[in-house]
This record gives sequence, structure tokens and C-alpha cells, in this order.
Amino acid sequence: MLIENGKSDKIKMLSNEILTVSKYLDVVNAGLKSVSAKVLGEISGIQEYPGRSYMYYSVKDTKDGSTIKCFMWKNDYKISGVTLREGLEVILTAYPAIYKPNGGLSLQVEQIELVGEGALQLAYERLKKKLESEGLFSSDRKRELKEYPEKIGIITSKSGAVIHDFLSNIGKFGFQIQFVDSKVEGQDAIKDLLSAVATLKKANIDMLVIMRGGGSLESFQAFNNEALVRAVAEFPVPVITGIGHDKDAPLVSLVSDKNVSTPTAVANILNSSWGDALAEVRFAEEKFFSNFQTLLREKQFVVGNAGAEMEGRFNSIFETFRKSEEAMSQALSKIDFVLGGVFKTIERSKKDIEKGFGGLLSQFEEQMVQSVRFIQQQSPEQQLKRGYSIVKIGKMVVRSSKSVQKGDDLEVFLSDGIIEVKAQ
Amino acid sequence: MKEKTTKKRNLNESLKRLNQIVSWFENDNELDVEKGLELVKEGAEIIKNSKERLKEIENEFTEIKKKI
Repeated sequence: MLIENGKSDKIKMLSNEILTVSKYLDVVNAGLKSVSAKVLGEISGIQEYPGRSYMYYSVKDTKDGSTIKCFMWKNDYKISGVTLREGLEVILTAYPAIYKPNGGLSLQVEQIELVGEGALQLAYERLKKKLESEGLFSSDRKRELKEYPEKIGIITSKSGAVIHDFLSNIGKFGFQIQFVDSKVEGQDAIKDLLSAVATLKKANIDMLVIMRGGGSLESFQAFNNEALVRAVAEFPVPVITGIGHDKDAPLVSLVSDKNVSTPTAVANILNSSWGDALAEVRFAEEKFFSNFQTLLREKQFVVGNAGAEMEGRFNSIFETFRKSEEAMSQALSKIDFVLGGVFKTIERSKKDIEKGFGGLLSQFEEQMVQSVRFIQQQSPEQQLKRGYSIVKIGKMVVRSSKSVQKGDDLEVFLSDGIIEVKAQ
Repeated sequence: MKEKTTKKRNLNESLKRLNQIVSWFENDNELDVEKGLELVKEGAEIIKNSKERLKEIENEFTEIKKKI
């Protein structure tokens, strides 16, 4: 410190060492860094130097015209989200520094804030319109949150009530929370928030949560910052915001994938799917075990039915077989009976034939006997024995007296001999 | 092998698989008991693991320093 206690007029040498101008200015500049302040003034003499990484402008006291030149890196200017114009009243967060090549004192500006509610509102409306026209707030851009998030990145202030509320309400589902402490109030928070987002962008997380409590539009300035809005829009995993507000929603919450207003609501979103999962598991368990039981019962019934069916069919086959057997048996009996009759008939016929034939033979025999007897009776010998005689002339039998003439030699055949006579 | 696969599944996949199993029982008209038994076994394993995962598990809280 060059001035002890800030009030002392007693100049204290840094050391007895003799320094070069350059080294001395380095020491002075290092000391000047510690007198960083928020400076209120009006912008003038803007020099943007296109293509370069820095810019210059001046800030002037509106009352007495006191002026100091300002140096600002364009990256910081971009991050500040404020568009400078001549006469714009701003608050600069800056520290003094001596530019070594010419020894000029200037303010090294780190941050620019707009002054007054009206200016803030105007800037908010303009940026909102611009981002809206780019489609950044479109519902089509919103990404689905991971159903069962486990790795959560959180950005909020370590000291606020927000993180406490969140941790009190988050369920014990084994979340792996990676927390990055960040300022969340005012314009100063922008760089902090951007740095936190950049840190978690590289982390292995399922989703990012950005939270802060309620406050005035002015205190929300960081969450209306264009650079932060774009960083959230481009974040590789879905982002949930839990940023409390009264009237106008901070632009970061409009661009996030899911926005709620309190840390408790964020915790509830993270809890809900896990709670539902347990119910779903129980439902599935009950459902398919009962369905499987039903299936088994159905199949048992089918098997039982099949058994009965088979038994019925077998019985039916056996019954048919039994009937066929019975019919066959009856048929055989019948055939047997018929055959018996046939045999009897044949036997009878045989007997009849034998009998008939025998009778016929006897009859024939009798007839033969009678015929023989008759023939015998009718034979000339028999006739001769009865006293009859046969007269022959030579070999001719004399049947009429007319065939005999006187003197013919006749032979009279008798049963016991021949008498030779002469007709007279 | 199957058991290992089931264990490796995350909760989301497990619930999807459980829903598929429930749908199989509800939609298939000609249900195969053998297949059903297989699915019940698989489902029981998933349920066991899912319930294990859904038990109260302490959260891990790590503060990361900003990288500037």
C-alpha cells in the first residue's frame, strides 16, 4: 500500500531499491488494481477499432465534466451485454492503470451496467426481441429432460437460502451433485456465472440447474445478459432454471429447457421421475406376475381339458372297438349259425339224397327183379314149361296154320324136347 | 451372461423392458408358457435390481472450483 490506512499523509517508501520506470509503473499498476470501484458517468468519445481486441471511450461526470479515459477488452464489452452510445449513463466496474508507453492514466473497465429502471427495462425489451427473433425461446428448441437424471450440475450462490432449500427437498435417490458456487446478484455475477457454466460444460452431467432467489430487475441483470443466455442455449445437456422473479422473466429462464420459480420446484422435478419409477416397478411386478398366473391357469385348464378330451376320445375309440367286437362276435355267431344250418341242410340233403337214391335203387332193383321175373315168366322156356310149344319150319316160327302146308316137316319144340312131325 | 446384462441396465432401460414384458403378457393372444416363464424370470431380476436402485441412497455432493 502506498498510503497507510487510506488517511495518512505519511508517505512510505516501498523500499530503498532504485527501480526503472517500467518496473516502477508495474508496481504502481499492481497497487492501483486494489482501488477498483464502480464509477458513475456518461459515455463519450467511443473508439471501437474494428478488428482489434480492445476499445476506448471516455466517461464523464455529468455535473462537473470530470473525465477519464477508459480501456476495455472487447470480450468484456460483449459479456457486459450493454450497447454503448454517446451520452449513455452507465456504471463502470473498473480499476485505474497507467499505460506505460505514454504514462497516461486510464480506467481498465471490466463491466458496464445501465443506470436506472427505465434503461434496464428498455435494454431488457430490446434483447428479448432480438433473441426471440432468432428463435432462442422457441418451444421447439426445448430439450427433454433425462428421465432418471443422476449427475446434476448446480450453479448458485453458496451463501444463499436457495442451495439450502434445494438440498432439503432433493430426494435421496443417489444423485451425484456437482456444485459450482457463483455470484448471482447484479452485473458482477455475469462473469462468475459464465465461468461456472463453462466449468460445468466440461463436467459429466445429465443436466444443469441454475438457481437464485427473487429480487429486483436490477439485481437480475446477470440473468438478462446476452452472453449468459447464449451460453445456456448452447449448453450440451438440458438446463433447468429456478430463478424467482416478480414481473419479467429473466431471459436465461426463457431460454432454458425447463423453468420453475423456486429451488424446491427444481428439486421436485428431479425427484418426480424417481418416485414414479418405484410405482412403475411395483405396477409392472404385479401386472406380469398376475398375468403369468392367469396364463398358467389357462394352460392348466387347456391341459386338463386336453386330458379329458383325450380320455373321451380314447373311450370313444374303445367303445367303437368294443361295439365292433361285439358286432363281429354277433356276426361270427350268426355266420356260425348260418353255417350250422347250411351244414345241417347239406347233411340232411346228403341223407335225403342217400335216402332218395337208395329208394330209387331198391325200387329199381325191385323193378329189375320184377322185370327179370316177368321176363323169366314170359320166356319161351317158361311158356314151354306151362305146356305151350313152338312150331318151327326150319328156322321160321309158325305163327299161323296158313303158313303150313301139307307135308311140311315141322318141329314142335316142347320144354323138354323136340317132336318132329309132318303136316297133313 | 443374461444376468450381467440385466444388472448393467440403467433404470430407464429397466423400466422400458418391464413395460415390454407387461405388454407381451397383455397383447400376445397365443401366449407361450415357456417364453412367459423366461420373461417372468427376467422381469423378477430387473425388479430386484430396480428396487435396489430405488432404495434410499444418499446423494453425493461435490463442490467444484470454477476454472477461469
